[in-house]
Amino acid sequence: MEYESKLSDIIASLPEVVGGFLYAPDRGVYSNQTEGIANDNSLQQVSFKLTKIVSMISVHFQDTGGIRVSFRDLILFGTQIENEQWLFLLHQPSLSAGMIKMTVQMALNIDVADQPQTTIAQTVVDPSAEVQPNQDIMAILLADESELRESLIHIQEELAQYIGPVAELVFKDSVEIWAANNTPSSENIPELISMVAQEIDDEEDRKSFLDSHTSKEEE
Amino acid sequence: MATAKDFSRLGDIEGVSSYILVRNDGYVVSENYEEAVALASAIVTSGKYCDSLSEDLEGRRYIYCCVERTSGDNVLVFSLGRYYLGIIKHADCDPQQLADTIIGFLKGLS
Repeated sequence: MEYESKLSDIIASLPEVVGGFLYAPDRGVYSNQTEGIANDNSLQQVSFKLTKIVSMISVHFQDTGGIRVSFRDLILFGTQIENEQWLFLLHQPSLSAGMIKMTVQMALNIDVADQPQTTIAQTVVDPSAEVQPNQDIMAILLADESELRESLIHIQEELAQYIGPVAELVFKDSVEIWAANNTPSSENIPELISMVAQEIDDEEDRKSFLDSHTSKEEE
Repeated sequence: MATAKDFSRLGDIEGVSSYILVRNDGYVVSENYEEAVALASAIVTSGKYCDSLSEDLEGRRYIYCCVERTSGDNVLVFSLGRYYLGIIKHADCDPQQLADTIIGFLKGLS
């Protein structure tokens, strides 16, 4: 609750800040104060992706702090505040990185540059820890007794034919998002196939991938 | 059409500590970073995640992303179609200014 009011204070104090929200992996998006810029489901995806990026880069550089994504008319700034909670702000490009950092630091009474370092480093100091969340769900879904094992292995192998060595990583990430948003079941496999297909850039390859799975389902 | 040699000039840009150009299948096309192969998959996956953000944010077009580090040696990721460019910047360089310089360089190649 404390962070929710502080988020409101930050938004109110800087006219260039058009909104913000809070996120925690175990809680999802909360305190969405983006005034309709995006709904909770969209922000959930955004939060997941950005925290994942920081986590991946942390494997190589253990002093990672926040993340800033620049769009044509908007900047999305995220910083880890406490216990894997993240604060995200959407602001106009005219607002400098220094100003936004200082404002967050003052509002939360933390050093936003230093705060995330310890918590992120703790979770990713071992490179294998970076994929830990995936390993859990993947281990369950790929267990010998899992009814989805054969289907998932087949999808991943097929994906590798189109996008190469990164297929395993991409597939694990897709499965994690899929499992978070759907009940992992045979009925929901088409949803996963559709998500995985988006990772194939070439339109013809993507169509070929989708066609091959459609024909198998019909069989 | 730009070649890998053209991209090698990225290393000469003031503020660029290291760069890595990776194809979307993880193949490193050009780099001046000793850990490039290890970093490649993180750059590709980060770029793909950023590309997909436009779907979550009403079609907003992603330009680049910057992972901040306490050392100041931030990591920037640019999306170039089937390729992704990772830049590790010098600590004392302004990230926005460097991003603008990189964008100008990339436009000059196309």
